[in-house]
Amino acid sequence: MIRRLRGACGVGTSRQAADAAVSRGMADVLAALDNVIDDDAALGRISAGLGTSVPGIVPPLGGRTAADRAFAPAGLLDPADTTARAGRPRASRRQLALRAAAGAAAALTAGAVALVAVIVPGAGHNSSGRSADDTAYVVKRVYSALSAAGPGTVAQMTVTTRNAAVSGGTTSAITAEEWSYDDRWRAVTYSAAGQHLYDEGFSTASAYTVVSYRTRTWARQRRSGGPAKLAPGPRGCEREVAPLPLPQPGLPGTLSAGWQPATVAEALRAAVSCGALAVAGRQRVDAVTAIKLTSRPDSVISETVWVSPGTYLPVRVIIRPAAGQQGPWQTADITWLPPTAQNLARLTVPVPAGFRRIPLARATAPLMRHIRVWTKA
Amino acid sequence: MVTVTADAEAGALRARSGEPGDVEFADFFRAEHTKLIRFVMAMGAGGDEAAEIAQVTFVKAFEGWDVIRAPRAWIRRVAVNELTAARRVARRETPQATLPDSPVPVSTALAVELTEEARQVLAALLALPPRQRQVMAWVIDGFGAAEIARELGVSPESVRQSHAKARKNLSRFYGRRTKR
Repeated sequence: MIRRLRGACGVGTSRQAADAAVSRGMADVLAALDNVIDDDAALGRISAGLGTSVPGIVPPLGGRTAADRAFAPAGLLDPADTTARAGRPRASRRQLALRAAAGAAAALTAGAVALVAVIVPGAGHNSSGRSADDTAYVVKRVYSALSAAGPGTVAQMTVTTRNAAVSGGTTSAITAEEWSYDDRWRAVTYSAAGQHLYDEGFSTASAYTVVSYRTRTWARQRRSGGPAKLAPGPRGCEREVAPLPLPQPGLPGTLSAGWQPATVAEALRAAVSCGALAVAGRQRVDAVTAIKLTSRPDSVISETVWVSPGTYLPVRVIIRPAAGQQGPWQTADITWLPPTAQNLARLTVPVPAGFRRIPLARATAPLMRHIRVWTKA
Repeated sequence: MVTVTADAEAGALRARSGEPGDVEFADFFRAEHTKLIRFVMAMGAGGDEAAEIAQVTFVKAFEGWDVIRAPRAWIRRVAVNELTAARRVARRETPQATLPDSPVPVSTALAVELTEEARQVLAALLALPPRQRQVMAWVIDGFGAAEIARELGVSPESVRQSHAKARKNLSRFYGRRTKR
């Protein structure tokens, strides 16, 4: 009776409001499913199961790993399925993610974000109380996004390094604007006062250019050989890697392996796949409710990565020393830009008129003295 | 009234004349696969179970593709049957006219992807009596009372009554959430 009276008196939300909530909620369910399920992969499995071909599909690729199989039952996205999505209009958001991943790899490689691969063998931690399965899924998606390679998106990062040691003292902050696209990248570094310090980058011809605004000089030299790579795969889990090199101007051909594009992406992939990061909930990063991943509490370096729930690519990375340790703090905000002519132009290092060309060794030596960030936490 | 407007692709699929080759199975699959999973989830299944049922359903749809006249309704009808059968096996129960309750947590992947509003609506549907939930699942996918009645083997009036009760219960559910 009481229930009837409550209903008659209109206790609760109006039916129209409830209808709207149901519509929105079910639309969200569909969006989540679209994000999780790869139709072509599922269709390929049906086709394979029937032993016949279904017109209009691309069968899934082979080579599944144990992790892939764990997500296989409904065509859940996995690395092996990503290729099959090409050319499918509905998959545009995923394709964007994958294309952006290519930029991410290059961007992270650009050396600005010293993504620390604090790799500790074993399962991911669960300090936030979230399901470890959630972590496994997110890590898998991040790994897949970072594993994708190829051009497509210009990655732009604003990297702020705090507490970095410079000649003559400790600066409060150094900011670098970075862009990367495929194997090209550029970094413009500013002092804490906003003074333009130097500009450096690799062009399409693998020519390294550095411009010093302090000395009003510039240098250019071709780099030989391709980017160095860390040993991929599970071997990375067998060791605890020290922080990757923080941004420093380097010499062509003598750049630390940690600077090279594939290396940093590989290190991050190793970190996520080895369980060094775990989901710690969601937080707003600008306009996005990003998924937050944090490193183990007992790690040498404290690392927090926020990834977009849509693309699973990092949108912000913060690295700081563990409690009781000294060292620089780095914050990297990452955005993804279409490869328009205007955005691609940002990858070119301009040489201002009146600047004097000098040998590369002479150009980089003062820079190396000028900025000396701590590489040990 | 909760209605999900049939989009263009669904409309085109509904217009299928039955001539072989009018609509490629693959296109239909891409248009309806996740919607069918959602439909089964609205019936009370978890994400993994719903995906498995959708896969089984589409295998059957592919095998009988040339003779299926209303594929959108057909796959939903078959999926309901599959879900009922799965529950029957799992619970060793006798067949029931309506789907029994069986709260199943959504899959790991969806647990990450689902928004709070999505979780709430699934919880709200799960709280409905089976018949009301069944009707709501069809309504959400854009089917009218007459079509639903035909698929469920009941009268259109019975569908309308179940829908009205479901809306009433959903408004109470959301009302309680709001008061908290």
